[in-house]
Amino acid sequence: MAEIIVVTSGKGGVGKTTSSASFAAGLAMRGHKTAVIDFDVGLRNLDLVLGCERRVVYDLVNVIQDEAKLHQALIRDKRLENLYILPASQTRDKDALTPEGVERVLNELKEEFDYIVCDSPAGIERGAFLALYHADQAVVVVNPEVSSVRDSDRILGILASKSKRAEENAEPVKEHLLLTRYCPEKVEKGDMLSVDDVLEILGIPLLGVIPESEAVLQSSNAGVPVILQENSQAAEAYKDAVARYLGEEREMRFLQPEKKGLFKRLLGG
Amino acid sequence: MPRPEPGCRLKAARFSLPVLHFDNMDVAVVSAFIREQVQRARSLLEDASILLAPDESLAGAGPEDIQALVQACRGERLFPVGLAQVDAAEHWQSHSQLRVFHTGNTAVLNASTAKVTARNRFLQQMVRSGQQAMVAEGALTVLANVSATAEVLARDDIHIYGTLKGKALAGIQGNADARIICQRFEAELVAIAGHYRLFDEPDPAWFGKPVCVRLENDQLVLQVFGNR
Repeated sequence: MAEIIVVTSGKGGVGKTTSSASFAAGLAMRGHKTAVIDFDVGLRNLDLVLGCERRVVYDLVNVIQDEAKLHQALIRDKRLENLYILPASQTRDKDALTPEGVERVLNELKEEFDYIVCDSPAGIERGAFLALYHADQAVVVVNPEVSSVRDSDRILGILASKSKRAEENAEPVKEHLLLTRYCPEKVEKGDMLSVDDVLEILGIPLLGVIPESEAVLQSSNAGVPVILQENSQAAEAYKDAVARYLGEEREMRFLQPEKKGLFKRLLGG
Repeated sequence: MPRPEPGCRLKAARFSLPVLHFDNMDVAVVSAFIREQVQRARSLLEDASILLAPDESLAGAGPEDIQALVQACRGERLFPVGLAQVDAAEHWQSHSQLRVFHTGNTAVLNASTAKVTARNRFLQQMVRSGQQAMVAEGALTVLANVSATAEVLARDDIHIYGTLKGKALAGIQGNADARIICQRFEAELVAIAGHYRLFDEPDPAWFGKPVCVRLENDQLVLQVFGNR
């Protein structure tokens, strides 16, 4: 039975799309057939992050409005054979999404895929609501700063009260915390909320901590999911998060400031 | 040997009934008033059972007038089932088929203070930012944190077995005996029966401590409890 995962945050710019791309790629790397859907209709980004923007012909809205078949809109990733992307429309707005249409697309995807990752837009309006409505599990992307934590708390409240599972009184949506842009040096100086601070406020299990890294920006611009980068802490952290999601026990890494060797210090690195 | 079930049971139950207060025997006036009220709150009042509370000036009303008035109520689809315990009730009882409802010491009944059965609520999960939990008819117990900007409201007490970071308003219908009790106090605002206090700066006297808030002489009193 396919599982629907929403990647959400409330606040914008915290790394939802980056995390959706890496998380979906991570699941695909582990042999699970995975589809990732961009729900940010009107501001489509996921195709860029995954480097398939020039291969978009049809999109989610075309499928919902019966202008194209699902298979025409799904783009198969060139690097990972198990990864498929359903892009958002650039020319329409979020009102083009209908609850019935989204449900139909998800049901069709469920027959074929193991995991369906929904990349939610920021905010708590229609697009975000439709992205989370059918979720079985939620990955809440949070930056270690107060406004991001507050907005995520709000989204968690909506997940607990407005999702399909909540409406049907079914088992609640399973929540995971993914802390991104974490900078242990700043935490040590007291300039950034620590993992424990965030956990204390949100009270949900920690899936992973992604360290702040130049590599994330570079790979997004290059259209390669971070998780595919070599020798990158962020890539390793995403792989850990995917492994934990699949039930493996892995110790949290990259929570302490890096000890700089003499050489690095001399070079000012 | 178990006794056979008799098929009858006597159980205690409590109901709230609207009470019609009036000091006018003019059937037209009373009918018009009822019609307007029923129209305003059809789901609540249509075909409802009510008590009559005639003003003491009506203690000598004539038997025909009394019966006409009861009839007028029924004509407007409100059904008097008894008389409230007011001064004129004895006289009205002997001239109508209604009996006086004995309601203890509350001699003067007023629909707004009619006692409602308490319906306490219990919340296992966190009350998150932007959420509001309200208990209109009783006390609220929360077994987790109340996030910043979240609101919890109750007619009676509020108990929080976690951290109160948001707003808590107890006694929202005027119950001045209501209290707010939390395991860890980091509240933005507390209020009891409309008296509120804002905590824009964390006050070290209470912040992070187990606190009980109550109302004393219209003043909010915060008290740290336990042996921490």
